[in-house]
Amino acid sequence: MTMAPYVTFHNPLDEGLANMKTAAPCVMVIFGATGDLTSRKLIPALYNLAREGQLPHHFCCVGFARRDKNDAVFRSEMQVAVSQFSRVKPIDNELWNTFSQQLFYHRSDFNDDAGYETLKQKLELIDSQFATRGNRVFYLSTQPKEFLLIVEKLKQHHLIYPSDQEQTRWSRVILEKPFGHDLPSALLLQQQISKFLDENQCYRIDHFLGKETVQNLLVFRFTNPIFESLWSNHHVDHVQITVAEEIGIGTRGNLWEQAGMLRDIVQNHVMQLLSLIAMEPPSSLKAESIRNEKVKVLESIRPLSAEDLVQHVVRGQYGSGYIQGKAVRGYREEDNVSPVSSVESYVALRLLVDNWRWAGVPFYIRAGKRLPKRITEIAIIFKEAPGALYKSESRKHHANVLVIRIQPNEGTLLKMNCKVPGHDSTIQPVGMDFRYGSYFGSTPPEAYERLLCDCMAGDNTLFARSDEVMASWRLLTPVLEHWRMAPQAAFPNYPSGLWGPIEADQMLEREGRSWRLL
Amino acid sequence: MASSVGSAAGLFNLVVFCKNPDRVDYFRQFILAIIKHFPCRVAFIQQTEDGNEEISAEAGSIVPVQSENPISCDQLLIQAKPGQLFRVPFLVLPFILADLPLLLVWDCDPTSEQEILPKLQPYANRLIFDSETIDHLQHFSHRFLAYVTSGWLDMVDLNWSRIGGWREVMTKIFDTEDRILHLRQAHELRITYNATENRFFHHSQTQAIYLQAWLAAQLGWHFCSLGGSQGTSEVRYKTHIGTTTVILQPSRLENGTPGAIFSIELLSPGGIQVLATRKPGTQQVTVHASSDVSCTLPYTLNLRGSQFNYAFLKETLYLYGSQHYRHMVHMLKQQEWTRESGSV
Repeated sequence: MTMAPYVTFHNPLDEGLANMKTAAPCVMVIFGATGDLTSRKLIPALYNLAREGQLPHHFCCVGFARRDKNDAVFRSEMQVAVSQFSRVKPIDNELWNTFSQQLFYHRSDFNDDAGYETLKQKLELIDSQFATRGNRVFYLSTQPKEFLLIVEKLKQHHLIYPSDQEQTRWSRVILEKPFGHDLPSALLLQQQISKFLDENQCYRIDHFLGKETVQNLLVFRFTNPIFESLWSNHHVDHVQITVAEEIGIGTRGNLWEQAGMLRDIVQNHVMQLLSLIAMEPPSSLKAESIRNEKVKVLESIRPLSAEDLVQHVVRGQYGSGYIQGKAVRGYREEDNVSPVSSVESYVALRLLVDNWRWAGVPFYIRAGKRLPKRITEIAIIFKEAPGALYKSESRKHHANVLVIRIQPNEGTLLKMNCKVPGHDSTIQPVGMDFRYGSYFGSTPPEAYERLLCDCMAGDNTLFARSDEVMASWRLLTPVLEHWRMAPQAAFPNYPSGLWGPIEADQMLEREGRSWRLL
Repeated sequence: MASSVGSAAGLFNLVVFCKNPDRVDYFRQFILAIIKHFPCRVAFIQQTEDGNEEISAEAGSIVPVQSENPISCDQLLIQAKPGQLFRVPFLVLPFILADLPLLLVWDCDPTSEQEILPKLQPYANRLIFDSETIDHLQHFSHRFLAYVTSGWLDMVDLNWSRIGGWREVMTKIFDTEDRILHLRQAHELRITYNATENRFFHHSQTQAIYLQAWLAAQLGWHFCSLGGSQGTSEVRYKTHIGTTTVILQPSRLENGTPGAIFSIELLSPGGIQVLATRKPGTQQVTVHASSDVSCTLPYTLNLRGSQFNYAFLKETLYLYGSQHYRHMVHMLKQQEWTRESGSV
């Protein structure tokens, strides 16, 4: 593995000013630019970076897609999109007029060599006009099956540079999740892509890592020693990680039938959260130090045995029900879904991390659609106080809980016990609650803003490394295999609007525990 | 002291001292901008000659943004006549929220205010002051550097923060070794600024003075002389290949912010010319660069940091004390900017 040797000089005027990263001049080419992600997330993110002065001043964006349109049409469509999806409204027309002049559209098929040659000429012209210095970011906002083709074509047409020749200019490729659909496919994809890309040129994006609250996990853990001293099997009883959505699969039936909850959410977002919660303190804040510790955790997770696959893995699929009082249909009744589909919309599992810090502490994970509310949180449930003091009260109220709310109501809650005023010793749990929104009034940057800026600045801390991805696939592929081999699942097995199948509750009850009521 | 509306929040304690009654409204706006982004407990001290009472204190709360779940900030408003300022710390100290940082905002020369500041300084984490109030920059520079070397707390100058946007712009324009070399070798640098004044700002040249001193300090120029006429100031520096003349050119935009910088123009050997001009009424700077042999297409940079926006406030409240600022002050120590010379 070679380091990207892009050389910078020390600018005597640069003091790190507002302590913000400044991305280097570059052109970003978005493949699949007519898709939802571009209009809902990517262009609004770039616009907001421009608004906050964090976009390189020499920057252009080229949308690459099959549909027939020109620059003017693309710019007009993106203006509508930014007006609708930007986190800051209304848009600044003056800024938009300038920003939109840096947006271009390139019509081509992904397998059209002539299209790549004309793209190359376009980028070189942009370099000469906008001083983007030959630096390239290629964002593959496409179906995963297109990744290899596009990367190969980019390399073939010298749009991706050899990594050992990146002294004066660089090229990077951002790949959307999922990276593969199981371990063999991920390994194959990695093997094939590595013929064209060095690891340092490869940015596997997981937008969860761009969220302020997820970035805060490391700050929280490693600047608050009071909690770090409790962060082990000496004090922690178990950990619950919940990713709950109230929405269904919507119009994504086609995609969802190929994926399911385990691939779409658990393999990437949940495993990232778990690794950040369970990792050891890194030796530094450099990308490799942090990523090394995350991989160590993932590789310490005990592989799921045949018994675990039965006892400690639960899958579910929502049926019809009610969400916020409104009737909704079941998964099998959604558009583009097989009426006998066995694809899961809910997963619960128990994992064990076999290292000195976490030995014996179960990590319970649940992720599901059409649950009563949208919430993503990590709950650290501590062991109960030893001894018999105050044990006459219900045990349920005794455990301290530290909750890290990822979304919504981002913040941290510490649940502790207090005495209810009076002559007796009635115990009442109360929460010490910090909420981001109550303290930091301004709207925080969207995850994609942070991630795009980091990529342009060459910081891959918040992007998944290949061994991280493989480690999580290695753990979860047996689950997929087990489901594939198992008889047809008895779906649906939970109504929309409730907290998932009863088997998930039973999984914890067998171990004397229960899911937090959210 | 409890808030009657919304949930109380406080990231830090903010103690603001406004000595000049004409600037009270300015600092009210500043406080509102801060608590909108960073809720805090505020003690606002106003020196006044009005009123019957020698000193008064009134507690209340401010809700900067009305919403479904408004956040309110506790405020203590203290009004004191000059002879009673010594009593102010005794009102402020009990009001402080324990365990939270204490930030001081001083609307006068902090190196010479002796009645309130010395009593609060031992507890404070940061002192923010406005050099708008300083008449003699050179004398202030000497005193500031003495304070800094004696281990005084972290000090941030609002005028330094005000030019943060232009500092960023210059950093982005001159972002390669070649371009820095062109800048270092410049034979003329012209900074045009808004020379109007209003009830809040009278020293309209300060930001321009700061900007040129900062550039000079960072580029390794050596100060030679300061002169000028008819409101225009000229500062001569020795560079490693010759001399550079920095011209501070006043202009007038009545509705514009006093002291705001309109443009920076650079002339260097080889016919190199770089002109960065702020588009009126916007936060954008257009940059034109050309030489004897080439001309680049103009491009636009975003000028961050209008007075009270998030980036400006975050730098002012959170960034560590700036080495560049100290270098700039070292440079100013050599330059006699006074009101009598038509400068400052």
